Amino acid sequence: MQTLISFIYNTREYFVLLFALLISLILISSNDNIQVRAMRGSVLDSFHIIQKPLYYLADLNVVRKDNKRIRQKNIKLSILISNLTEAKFENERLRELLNFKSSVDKYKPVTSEVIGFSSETYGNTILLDAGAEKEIRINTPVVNSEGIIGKVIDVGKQTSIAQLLNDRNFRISVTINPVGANGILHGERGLSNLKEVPKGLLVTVGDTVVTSGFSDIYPAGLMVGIVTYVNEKPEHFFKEIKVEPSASMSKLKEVFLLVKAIDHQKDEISDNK
Amino acid sequence: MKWIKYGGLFLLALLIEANFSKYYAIGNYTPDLFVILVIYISLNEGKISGTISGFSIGLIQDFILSVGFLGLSSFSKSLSGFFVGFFTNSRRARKYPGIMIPAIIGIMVSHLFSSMFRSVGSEEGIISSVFRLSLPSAIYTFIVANFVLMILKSEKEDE
Repeated sequence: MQTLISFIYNTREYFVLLFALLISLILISSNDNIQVRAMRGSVLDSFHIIQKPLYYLADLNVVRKDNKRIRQKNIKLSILISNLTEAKFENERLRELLNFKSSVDKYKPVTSEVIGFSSETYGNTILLDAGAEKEIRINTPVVNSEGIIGKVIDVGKQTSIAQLLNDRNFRISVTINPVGANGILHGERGLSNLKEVPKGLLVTVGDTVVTSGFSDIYPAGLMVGIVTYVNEKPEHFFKEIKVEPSASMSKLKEVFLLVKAIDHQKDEISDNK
Repeated sequence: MKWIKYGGLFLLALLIEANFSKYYAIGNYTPDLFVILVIYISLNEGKISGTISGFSIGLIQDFILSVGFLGLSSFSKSLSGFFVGFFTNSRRARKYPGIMIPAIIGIMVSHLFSSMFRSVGSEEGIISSVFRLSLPSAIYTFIVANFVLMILKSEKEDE
């Protein structure tokens, strides 16, 4: 017994390491565990308390310039809105005639401020000040006026983490317009790669890339980016396409989270039960 | 007192990574400030404290900053802290240019294990993951580590 105790004492650093590695491996294998996710949400909420004021402080310098730019943009947008409102009414009338329901109508936009930005070698995420309290869930799409930003990957009570479109692990099913070709966009910093687009289709630089609506996450028709490079290699079945995201990921301040109205209705029904 | 200093340094690293990482990112690559802190603590405190601080710092990093793979940073940084701890009693390894050896070992261990785990199940193979992602990021971290450890070291010598 004495020998065992002295052996453990003499090799205690190895036991500490073994224990740390064991806990880490358990965590790695239980990443999808609900309790682990809930714990992560709680840690995020606590971090949010010190993070939010500091983020504002860091951005104070940029705010003044932004303010001027936004005022100018506001004037232009006001004119655009009046034109669009007219077009919208006309569109609604025509849709009623066709009995058509837009896929975007199924979503309720929730505004959120970006209060943190993590730019790692392996991934890009933003910290948002909207969480489960505002009905945000995992896979809730994140957009702004320019297009798709990303999707929520972790949710706390008041905060959530969103994976950005330029994250290396981000994938989204898209359609190239006007040709109507479908493909999978693979996130990458700078230009994203659009894969699995057959060679026979006529895709050209400048074509717009929008969400296909095939997945259960994103509504169809949301702007994703513009095709900036198209190439075909004889040995490959598919085209080599690069896409520039329409939304600028480095200047994110305010975003919209598209909460599914259907989920909302489901919740109300289950609450009533 | 020194643990308060380590805690303060950790908070500083956390806030810098969470708020300013996009400003000092070179292309796809950012330095890992947390592994530098683990190296610093481990060099001063030894293997056990290095391993425990590596585990704790990595775990908080996993919870707050990392994308997916909860537990990966705690795993790789525990190993970093442990290996760097072998140099704690070497006076030469705690001064320039000797300090570069534990720094290289700590950074490489952390980055290699990270990329090994991340390459599992991904389209990118382990070799590509190491050379395309880990190595440039490790080099950037090493350059930053030299400055940071020099500043922290001189503070220690002043005491």
